[in-house]
Amino acid sequence: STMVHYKLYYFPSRSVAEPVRQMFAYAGIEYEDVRITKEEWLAEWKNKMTFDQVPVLEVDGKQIPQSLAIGRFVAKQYGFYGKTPFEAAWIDAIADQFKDYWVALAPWFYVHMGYAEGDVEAAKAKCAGPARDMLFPHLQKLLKENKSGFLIGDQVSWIDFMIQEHVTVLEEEFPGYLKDYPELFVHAAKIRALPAIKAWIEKRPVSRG
Amino acid sequence: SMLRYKLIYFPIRGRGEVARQLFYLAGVPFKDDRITISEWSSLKAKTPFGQLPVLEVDGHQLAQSFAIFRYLAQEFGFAGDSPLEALWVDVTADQHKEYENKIKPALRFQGSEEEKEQLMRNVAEPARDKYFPLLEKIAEEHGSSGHFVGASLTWVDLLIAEHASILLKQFPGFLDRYPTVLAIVDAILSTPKLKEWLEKRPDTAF
Repeated sequence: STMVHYKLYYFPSRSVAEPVRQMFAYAGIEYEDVRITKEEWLAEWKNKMTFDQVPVLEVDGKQIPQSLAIGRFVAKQYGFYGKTPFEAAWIDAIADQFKDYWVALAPWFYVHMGYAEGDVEAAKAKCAGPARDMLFPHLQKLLKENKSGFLIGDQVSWIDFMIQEHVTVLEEEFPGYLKDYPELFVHAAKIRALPAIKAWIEKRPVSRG
Repeated sequence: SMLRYKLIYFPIRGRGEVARQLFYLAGVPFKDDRITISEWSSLKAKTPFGQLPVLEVDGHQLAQSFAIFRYLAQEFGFAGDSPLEALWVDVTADQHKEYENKIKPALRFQGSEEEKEQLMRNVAEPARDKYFPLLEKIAEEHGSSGHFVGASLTWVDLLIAEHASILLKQFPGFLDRYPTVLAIVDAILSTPKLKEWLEKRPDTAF
């Protein structure tokens, strides 16, 4: 059989690339995990990337941008996209809701992480609550209703990896932010404990977020 | 007999229109449930994410406009003719959404002429000039016969054409630098079955 050759290009962090790395780890798919520093990005890599953006997944030499499109493509290929079209649609809905939440959280998150200048307390007062309300009550409800312990259906999916990664960052950077949503921590621990993911976490490069 | 599908949204085109177009193009009947603000306030807590649009399929709810569009498109054959085409439809839609988020403050802005000028210069034009060259590139590399991706109509064609209609109504000439995009939008809006819908749909400002 012909093996597909994958290269994943991103910065040296987890963030929006990590769900793809975790799907590859879980499915046992080999790929080149290319990590580009900020200096390298500006000096040479931005021009090499098809839309001047990362992440990019290169599939047999063809570049694909946009983290959600990449994630869905990999999820479909390797069985992380639910068992029915309706489950797949729910997975898509959560991915999009997560992105909307992320856009709402970003002003605070970026200042906190030092990616942007600003008043972190003012940003927190403005963003933290409204952002959280967009996403976590709904995820909590899904986890309470789904006996499997996964977000959608009875097997691990793309958005389990996506949400777990972000909850991990929240635990590290904003302890207490999700204190009313303990189900999210149970879920994150469950995903991190999956043998292939546990092994990946132990060997992956360490980064802050 | 019971309709399988119900689309719940406000009485505007907004984030519901592409779904309505997909139903019409597919010839699939659906309940076009256009609700009032007061109906919404009692329905909101019963929806998956407290937002509209919501699609009900045999009574089961689905939220998030792109998830709804992609689901219907796949059911009805408007999601691209191969996994790679479907992928590039998704890439284009996500790139479009990022652009729309950036240009939103300039659209339907009610303020002074000076503020409008500033928004045009500082927000609308940069957002346009970052996105539309990428869209041209996508169309060149992945689209044909008057489509952005692939050789037949997809949900991202509908998404972009609807947006372009609104955009050009407010800012005529705004896309003059992007004639290939304009040509594709024209081709999409000339699709006979879509033209039928455009002529008979409820008339709303946006």
